[in-house]
Amino acid sequence: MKHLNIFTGALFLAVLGFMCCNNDSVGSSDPDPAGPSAPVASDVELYVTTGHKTMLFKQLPLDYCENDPMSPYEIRLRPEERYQEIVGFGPAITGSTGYNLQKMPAADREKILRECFDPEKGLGFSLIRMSIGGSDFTLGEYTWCDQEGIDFFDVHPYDRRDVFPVLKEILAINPDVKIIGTPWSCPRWMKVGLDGVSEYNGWTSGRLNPACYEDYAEYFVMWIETMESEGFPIYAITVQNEPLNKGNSMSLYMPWEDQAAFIKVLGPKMQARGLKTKILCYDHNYNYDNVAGQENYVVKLFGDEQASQYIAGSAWHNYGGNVSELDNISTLYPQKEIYFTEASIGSWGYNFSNNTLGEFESIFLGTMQRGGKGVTLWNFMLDENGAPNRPGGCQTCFGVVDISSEDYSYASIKRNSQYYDLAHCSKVIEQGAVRIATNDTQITDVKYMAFENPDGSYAFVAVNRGSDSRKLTVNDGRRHFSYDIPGNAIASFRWGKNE
Amino acid sequence: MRKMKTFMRNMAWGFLAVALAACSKDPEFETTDVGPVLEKIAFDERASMGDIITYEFRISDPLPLSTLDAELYFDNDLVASASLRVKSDGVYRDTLSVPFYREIPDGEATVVITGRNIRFGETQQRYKVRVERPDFDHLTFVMSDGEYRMDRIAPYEYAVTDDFPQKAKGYIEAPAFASGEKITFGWDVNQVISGSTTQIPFSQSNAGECTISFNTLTFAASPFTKLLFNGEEMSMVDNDNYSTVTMLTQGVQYEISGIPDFGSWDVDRDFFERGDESQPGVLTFLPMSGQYKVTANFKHNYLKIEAMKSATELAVLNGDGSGAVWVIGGKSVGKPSLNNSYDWKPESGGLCLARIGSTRYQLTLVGGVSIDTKSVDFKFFHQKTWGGEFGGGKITTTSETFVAGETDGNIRLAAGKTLKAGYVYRFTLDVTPNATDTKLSTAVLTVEEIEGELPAADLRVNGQAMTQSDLDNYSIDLDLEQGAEITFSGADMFEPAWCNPDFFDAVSQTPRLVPVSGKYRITANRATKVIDALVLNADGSDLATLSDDGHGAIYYIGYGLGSPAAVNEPGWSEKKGICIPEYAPQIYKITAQAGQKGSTVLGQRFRVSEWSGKFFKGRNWTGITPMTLAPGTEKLLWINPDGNNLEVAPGVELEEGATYELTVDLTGGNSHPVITFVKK
Repeated sequence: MKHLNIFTGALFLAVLGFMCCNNDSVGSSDPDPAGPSAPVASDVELYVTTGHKTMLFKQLPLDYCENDPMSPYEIRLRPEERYQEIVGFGPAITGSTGYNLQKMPAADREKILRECFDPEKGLGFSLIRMSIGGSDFTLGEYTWCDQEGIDFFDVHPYDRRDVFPVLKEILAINPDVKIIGTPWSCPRWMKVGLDGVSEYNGWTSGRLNPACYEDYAEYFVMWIETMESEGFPIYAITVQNEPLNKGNSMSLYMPWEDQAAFIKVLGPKMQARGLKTKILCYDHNYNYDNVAGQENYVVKLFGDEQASQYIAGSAWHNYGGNVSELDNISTLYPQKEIYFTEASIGSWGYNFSNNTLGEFESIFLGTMQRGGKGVTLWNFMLDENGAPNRPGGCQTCFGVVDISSEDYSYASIKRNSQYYDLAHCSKVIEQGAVRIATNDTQITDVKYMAFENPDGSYAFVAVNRGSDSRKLTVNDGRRHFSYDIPGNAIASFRWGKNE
Repeated sequence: MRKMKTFMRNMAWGFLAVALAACSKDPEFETTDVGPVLEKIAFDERASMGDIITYEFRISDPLPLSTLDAELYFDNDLVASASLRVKSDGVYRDTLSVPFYREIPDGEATVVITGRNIRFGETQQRYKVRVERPDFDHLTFVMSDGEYRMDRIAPYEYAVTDDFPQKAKGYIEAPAFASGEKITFGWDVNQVISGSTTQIPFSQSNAGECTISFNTLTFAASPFTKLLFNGEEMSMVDNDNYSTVTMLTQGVQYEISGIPDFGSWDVDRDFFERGDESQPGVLTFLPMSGQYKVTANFKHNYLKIEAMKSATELAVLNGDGSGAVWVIGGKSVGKPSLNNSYDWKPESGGLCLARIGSTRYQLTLVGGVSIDTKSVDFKFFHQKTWGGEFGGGKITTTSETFVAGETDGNIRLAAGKTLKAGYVYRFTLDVTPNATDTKLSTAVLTVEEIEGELPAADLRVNGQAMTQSDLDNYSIDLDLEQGAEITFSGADMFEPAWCNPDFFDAVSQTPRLVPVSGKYRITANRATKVIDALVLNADGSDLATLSDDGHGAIYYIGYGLGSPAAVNEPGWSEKKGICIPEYAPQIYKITAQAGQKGSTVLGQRFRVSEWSGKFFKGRNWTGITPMTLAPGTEKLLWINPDGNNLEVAPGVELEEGATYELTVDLTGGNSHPVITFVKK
């Protein structure tokens, strides 16, 4: 019989535990979180990211359980109850992103683009957003028609130089990527002052001159047609980025009354030209920026039947208010689509754990719970200084990934919280997947959501905001598996492919 | 960082060395990796959900034993455990309870048996158990007044058809297993759960024959009345409230169905207007169109409407004057009546104003019904909680009846003003922003007074209509003969929850007057459903007092006796003295049950202890003294020489729920009252 001393044993375990924790803390200080781990063969694809970075989109083996599925805490999928179809997840491809990407050696650029957009071996990003003309992350302020007269419309050289080549590479890797286009400002010659009548010639603020509605509608149509002729099909446009924002490096104040009036011109013109591109309205914050008279901006637009007939849905940002505002929209207008189109991270209060978990819950689960069909985040690649950026725009933003401006190498890429959030959805939820119901088993601190992919596989994403691990047992009616999701972690599952 | 790690590692090894040196020879801290010998004697290899698994093991060990533990796993989840202290080698027997969960399929569960000794050595054995859901022959539906057999009509499906009240509350019980275990099914928030006897609130549209069913696999139960608003089912919030959030359009008719007596419900007149009386559930929406929450409240039988910002968030006042304005106040305002008023509790008592214009909001209250006629205190808020408000200096009014507090903005009655019962008071708040007030910090209040009458109920005594004195209270003064029948009638007459037995004989179907002939004031309260009476003087001008010849009425003032319940004891407030009628010439009697201090049970009028009171000739301080106790009464009561008050005898406590009779005999003269107190 082997005898040990209890204090000795306990202290040994304590010391061992301390050393493990110490290893964790070393991991958490890693300045350069890794990309996807090597594929693992098992029944269930499982990817895990923890808030303290012990696992960063790490793939773990997980097999189906052989026990009888008797768990009272089991989450049972109910694929017969179906909700919205998912369009995808991805970043904004801005001029700054294109600039940085093209600074990379070609092989390195292909590597990061394949890592993110390849639907088989990569994360399968399938929805991107880009600006129509300049934004606060381009190499200047511009539109595609800066000289007065719509006849002067042409591709701006910055976009042809910075954005088009990158778009071509992305679409070559994943032809199913869908593009949402958004203007930050109309051409300045189409603007009037905030009073609606006075002359105005700034990039920032101003309103759309009603006398230019026809020209501006033509501008949108020509932009879509030009992009498509260049090989870039446009899935949707939003009428104006942040229409209630009078600041930024480029902007246009477009209250709901203006947007409704303009859509009544834009919609018929797009239809007349045979364009299938969707029109999304609003594209701004949940709280309507607290602008008097602009509360329920989207509801007011949808309530205007003449405008609403051309509007496929609404787009949202999270810089103000709460995602619960979408309850209002999805309840009142369930037939209208919902997209989350912009959230930024930056040096203001950034915390990997809080940002990764909190935004996964509020942006991804929060919007999809309310009918959201896709998420785009702002924006794909910046350098370590948050550049290139524009005066008056964001100087302290992080990209989905950041790259060193010293060598623009793949090795220098730092993956931020948004990268992992996008990865956890995009890797397991395919474009065309349908959100399905579950039996809504309540698990403390855990929020989750289930989907059925077009290939018949199931996807399941979960976030645990508590500090304790929680057991998840998921049953699709034929198979079930269990996994102890760590505290402060996201886990994504996909299984049943080709079975 | 590397230096820090090295330092910490050295510290840890140092602790380890110290611990080794300090404890290596102490036998109390020795451990072993060898556990006891476990031998299965008996083990249930099959079990029913809801029953128990019995296991019996022989356990032995050269070291002292600690415990024999058992854990039951469904899949990988621990669902039950048991731990048995074992001190010496031997055979031990124990049981594990098998949970009865909904929708869990039959299957093989795992039981892990663990024997442990005190040196942390343990031995584990794993056993498979076939767990199945029992398909009972029948179930029993248990109501407070009876039991009903629920026959098995399909696997796991049980039903009983019988005459049930509109609300048939009860729990369900399964037959006992051979082990004696018995599973029950009761209510938890809004679903049926196992292991509970909380009553399930089954309900149907009307009392009568209906089928109550329950499924022991899915826990699906029925019937529950479906409340539909505009064709959409309202969700159960709790036992009293059902709600739905919906878009309502001004001028459009909506229909609510599923409430059998909805015609008698109160519909908030600020929001809805009833049309045809033959269709009481058809309502026309009055304010501006928008998203609203409609709540059917079964406690107060009214339809509450609140403006919503989203499906889950209540509306707030927006910068442009849209949204909602809320009233929060003391108990002086409440909808549908003051019975539903709260003392500055916004979550319960916040009232949503109806938006009648882009920046105008309306609240309609009725004097004596939904607003106190003598004392008013409330305030307008930007949300249904504390925060933005129309406080001091932020609200003005031209009303002569109401004032807005200069410092707090509270709305109160102007000095010397009272409201008229039954009159309608319509408050309109205009929050139109102006050039200098873009944040809606000020508002203008106008109040319209509209002549009206309280909707008197039809309550009759001996065919004569009772007079309404306020919202719920009615009275009538009548000359009555001792022993004469008294008939209570009228369209709105209620089944009394309590009828004062000192005045009304409850033995016969038709009550008869108990005390001597005379003039009485009979009172009826529609809220509490209490019928009571007072003795009047000969000309009916006032309450009777005790005459010099010992006739009339006497009054108990003090502690120990309340009416209709102990909680209503007058204390030393003479205006609340309890009226005791003359049961026989010069003999006054009160009969009641004993209850705890503060009892609200109707009829429990004697406190079980701690009396302290006296009898008086009126609701004044003219006492009837000195009291004498009749023989035998001293076992229960005594006259405390310190103050000469009547009290429960020291060391005595009356039996809660038992009936006692207190008699004051003045046949020997008003100055020789003899008190008799007996348990019936």
